[in-house]
Amino acid sequence: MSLAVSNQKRAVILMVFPAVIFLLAIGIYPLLHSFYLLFNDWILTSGMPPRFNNFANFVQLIKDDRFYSSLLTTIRFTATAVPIELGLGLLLTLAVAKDTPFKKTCRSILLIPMMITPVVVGLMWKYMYNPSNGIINYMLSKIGIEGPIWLGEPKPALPAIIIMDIWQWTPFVFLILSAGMTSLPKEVFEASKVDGTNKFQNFRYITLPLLVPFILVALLMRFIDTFKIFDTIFVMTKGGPANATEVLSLYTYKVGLNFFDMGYAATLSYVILIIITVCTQQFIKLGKNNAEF
Amino acid sequence: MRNSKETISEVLSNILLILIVIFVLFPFIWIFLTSFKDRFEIASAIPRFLFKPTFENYKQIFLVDGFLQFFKDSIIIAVISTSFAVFFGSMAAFSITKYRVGGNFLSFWILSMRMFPPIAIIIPVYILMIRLNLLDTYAAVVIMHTLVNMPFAVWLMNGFYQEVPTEIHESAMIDGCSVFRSFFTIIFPVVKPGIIATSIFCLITSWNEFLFSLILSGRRITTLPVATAFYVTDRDILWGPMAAVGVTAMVPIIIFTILIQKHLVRGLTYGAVK
Repeated sequence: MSLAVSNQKRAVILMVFPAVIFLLAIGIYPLLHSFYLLFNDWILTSGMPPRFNNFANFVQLIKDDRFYSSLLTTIRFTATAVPIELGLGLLLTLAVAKDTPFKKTCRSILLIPMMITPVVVGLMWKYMYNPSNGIINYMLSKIGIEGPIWLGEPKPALPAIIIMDIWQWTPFVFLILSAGMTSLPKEVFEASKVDGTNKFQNFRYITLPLLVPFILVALLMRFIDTFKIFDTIFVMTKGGPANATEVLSLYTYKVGLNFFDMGYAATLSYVILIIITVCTQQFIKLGKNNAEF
Repeated sequence: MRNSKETISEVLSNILLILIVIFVLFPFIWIFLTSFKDRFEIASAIPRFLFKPTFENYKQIFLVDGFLQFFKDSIIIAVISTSFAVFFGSMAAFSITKYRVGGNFLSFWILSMRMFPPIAIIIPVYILMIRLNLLDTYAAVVIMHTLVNMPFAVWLMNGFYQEVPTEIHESAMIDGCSVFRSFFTIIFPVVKPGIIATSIFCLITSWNEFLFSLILSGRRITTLPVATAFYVTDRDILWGPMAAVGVTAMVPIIIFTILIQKHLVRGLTYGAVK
């Protein structure tokens, strides 16, 4: 019997083994390697091996204006897009609370933007923003507004990308919150009906608190995704004009794969990693206080 | 009174929903129409919805620009990386959910791998692939797509295994089945819908993945998103062929999305919301 049990144990561990080894080798090893690069100076194309440079990469980071501006752009992007997506998603959820077959069909249509290749989404919007034959400026001109050169001028470029992100991801927030809505216990609402509360009270004191865990999940997912956004911006502006849309991940990519400054690129990538990890942990703590996560 | 009030709010919410669906679908419709327009139609400052359709753009991308090759590369990479991720991932998920191997630590670690920003490791991955002499090969991109998909497959399959009653494989074990045999002959068929949904998810993720494909591909292999991105930046004015590229890249995803819509919320939130 004990032999059978130990055999079984071995088999069970054997089944996790390939996945764990693979994740360690391909997921963790690179992290350790880039940790090593943090303290080294290494221009890949120079043909010289990495050279220990104390903390020069960190000194460079502190002095690097382009790093600050890309960090600021990332924060501005995240801090604008995510709250708007969350607010619109919540409004939509409340407006479309009841489940009917028609609404279910609409909901499955809303799934499409978030599944489409980000590169293709960028392409579509670049086309629509195009100043000479783009449909957005044409429609604006119909109502008497002269549209800006969206992706060609520093000022409207980031808002243009934010609008695209809102279009693509508000449905995602809507979906999560709708899933949350349908999972709420019906009895609570019936009880409130008996107590004669009004709609606003219902929302403020019943729906909203019950939705908090779902709101947190949506917030976390959107935060992680917007903070590391790369694909769509790469296609639409490559960080331009005048670096107005250069987010942190794009700057990291350029330092590493265009300038081949591997040590400094590793430093930048650690900044992204640390910010995302710390924020995620704070979110999860918040979520744990709110039970379900 | 109350009833009519409710009907009005119901109608209003339906109208709102229709408006949103139109807003969401519009870019797709627009690019679809554009892909059948000729050069002059596209360059016109007044966009039109009715025009004489042409297949020139599709001919251009497939017959002249060689997009068939990029399609082939994308499909090969997606299928192989999905197979690896789902096969090993679903085995690991079985041990993790049914035998609690590695406890909370392992399952949390795998989840955190999923949230991991790819940009954080592109530098060492790029160097690693140069050293292994794998730059610009299927192997390199397949390995990285497997890395992206595996934690996801494990996490998604966890949810599906949880729905399988423990008695099923326990009774198999009492009958003298080994863990492996009971997994492949008894559990696997039960969670087949889960395996299919997970596979489709992984296929879409691999099909869409850009960053790793961008740094690891080159002249010999190029995935569709990478080809598209360079098409966009290099040939800024050729909107017709670009629209055709976009449409062809989207078609498989739209079909797949409809197939797995039931599991989508769970998939997109890594199981945090069912």
